[in-house]
Amino acid sequence: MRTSLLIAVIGLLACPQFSLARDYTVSVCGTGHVVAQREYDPLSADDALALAHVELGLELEEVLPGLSLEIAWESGTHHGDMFPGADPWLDAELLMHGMVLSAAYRLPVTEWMNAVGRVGGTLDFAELEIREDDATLLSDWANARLGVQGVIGVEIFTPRNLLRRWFSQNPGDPGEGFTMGLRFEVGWSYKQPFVYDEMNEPAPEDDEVAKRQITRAPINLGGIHLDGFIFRAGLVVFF
Amino acid sequence: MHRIIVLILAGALLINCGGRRDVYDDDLVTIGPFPINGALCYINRSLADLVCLRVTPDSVTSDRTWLRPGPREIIEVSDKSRLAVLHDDEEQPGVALLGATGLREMGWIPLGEQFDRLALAPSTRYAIAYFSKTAGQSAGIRNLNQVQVLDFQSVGAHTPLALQTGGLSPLGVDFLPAGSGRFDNLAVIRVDNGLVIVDMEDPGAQPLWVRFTNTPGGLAQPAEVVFGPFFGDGGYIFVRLEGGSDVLSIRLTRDDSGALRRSINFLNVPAGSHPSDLLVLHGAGFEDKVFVVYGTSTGGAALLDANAIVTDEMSFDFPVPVNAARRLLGPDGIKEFVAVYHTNTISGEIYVVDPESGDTETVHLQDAFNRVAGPLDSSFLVAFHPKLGQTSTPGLRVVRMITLETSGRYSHRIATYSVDQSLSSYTFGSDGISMLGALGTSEISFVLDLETGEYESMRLDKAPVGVGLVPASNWAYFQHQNPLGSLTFVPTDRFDRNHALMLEGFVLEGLLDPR
Repeated sequence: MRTSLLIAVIGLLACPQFSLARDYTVSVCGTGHVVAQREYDPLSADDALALAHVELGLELEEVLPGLSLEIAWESGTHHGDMFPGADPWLDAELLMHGMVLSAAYRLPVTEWMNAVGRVGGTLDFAELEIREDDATLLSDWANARLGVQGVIGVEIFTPRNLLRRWFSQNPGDPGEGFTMGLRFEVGWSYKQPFVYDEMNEPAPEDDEVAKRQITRAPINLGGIHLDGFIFRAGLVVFF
Repeated sequence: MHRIIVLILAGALLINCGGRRDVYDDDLVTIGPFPINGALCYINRSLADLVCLRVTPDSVTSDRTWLRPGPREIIEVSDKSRLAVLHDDEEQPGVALLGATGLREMGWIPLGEQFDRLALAPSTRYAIAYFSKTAGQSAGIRNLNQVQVLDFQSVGAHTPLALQTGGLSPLGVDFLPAGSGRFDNLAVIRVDNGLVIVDMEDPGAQPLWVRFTNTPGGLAQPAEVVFGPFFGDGGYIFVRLEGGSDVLSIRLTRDDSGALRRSINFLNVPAGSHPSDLLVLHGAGFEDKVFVVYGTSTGGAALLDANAIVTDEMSFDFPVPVNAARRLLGPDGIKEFVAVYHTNTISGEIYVVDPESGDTETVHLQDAFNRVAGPLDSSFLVAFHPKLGQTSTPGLRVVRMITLETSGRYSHRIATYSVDQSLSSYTFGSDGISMLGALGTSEISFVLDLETGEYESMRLDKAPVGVGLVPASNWAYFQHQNPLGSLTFVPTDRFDRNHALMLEGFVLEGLLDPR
């Protein structure tokens, strides 16, 4: 199934009509996520969640000039301390992976800057682990949740004709071709709540030992919304 | 454009500048377990919530309830239809009344003081809130001698009493047993130099004082208070003083107006000896008598008559020192005996005294023991031996009172059990014939039928540090070391790993659900 899908995508990209003069972008960014919800308080003293963001964008000029379809992978780990006044000291670790599929609209402002708006859907997985010495509670990866996010920002890049001059090329369309720069954007992310109602001790690595264990009843910690303000900054490369 | 960005940033910061509550930066303090009807509850002081693990015939479920700030202690009141939670919050100290099923708050009793303890009367209608010497001191000023009498029937009824003892906070509170007629609901508060007897049905009345004369060496502190049966016009309270050489007998009566009256008698034990344990018997003819164990160069005990001028009605001399007594029943469940022993003896002997005839039978356990226990009102005693015989194996000996078929005389039988480690904890079933135990670090637990000697043992996944029974259920529980909470539940009638269930980290139940 996956192989068929891959062949279809490659075929589509190889189609002359599709690939003709198609621009694409690659971005590597850091996303600062400030979670506004109180459920997140036990896990974080500063409401912060930092994520790495790698994105591939394909321009859809034939649909609307300036429109792009983008797919991104986001990942991050947040460590927080709970009840650190004395023993016990609890370490909470939230490990998150997600896909972002978004539509972006670029509005050239100058030869070196675009204004950008993005609206996208997200699919996130978030594993929660709470540790105290040898006592650990761990969720599983079945916690997949959908979400949406919207951001606006700017892309500041080296003017293309300046780059062409550096590389002794003739001047061309200032809105097309290779360049690179920085992107900055802010916005809001809304996600379905992650529910941690099946927290358990990690199962022993040895299957035989695991089978012999007394049955564990899972603990329900409740759920967290990870909605909040996002700030994203990073490098963007236009092809 | 940059103005727009600045505006968005500023807005986002305003939305998110709340920070988190301080509770997550303080210590995690949990108190428990509190066994209540069909459940085991833990107070999480840090988050001010109550986590209850409820047992059903086949499973265990957990739920979390928010409480007011500063929860400290929980008791079942009003015939178990409500829970009373003592709060020692600086701003709002008091007692919250929760429904036993939904745990919804049904009433609040403001106390004005941050009390440490709640002592519940057997009727479950009244309780005494008091400061305790053993509890941690709260901030601020406290009147250590003040107590509050709480009436849970009329919600909110609470009466402060300033005891004005001059000493420190009360040593403890005892209650007359239920079924004491006109003397039901009397509380006896032990203070540094006396007893204060409070009629909780009339808390506004002047409490009755029994003051002890301090000795040159220190305060006359009551070490033990026991109650004889109360009926008709009164009964006796027997008191042993810390380091004292007498037993105090307090005759408590009510006059025509219903006011409490008292008269005191000193019951002598042999010169040079000190009483170490008191015991009252329940049978007819023992209403005004107390069994006292005292230490001499050897050992002695006596049945003292509260009224007699010569109080030493019946005395017993033993060849080895003794310091404790325990009531033991014959196999018919009626005939009373007293087992006398030393709690840390090398002789390995227990003396079973028939208080009616004065006959004494020696139970030779052969090995030294360091603890004696048994179900209440039963015909069993369990002695805990650090070593059996010449081995280094610890063991238990169960002494059971029997009737000899040939002569009809009372005697005893002894069953010996070896265990691979000393018991870390144990408890006895409410049926009076079962014992539940857990062995030190070997992770072994067992349930032993004291009558038949049959037992089931089970290896737990973690070493137990405590054991108990969930009230009104067939579930036993074993506690394990884990500040986040760790328990293994197992039905006593299906005592095996297949039917056991383990819960880890339940103290954090509902952690992510905001208040």
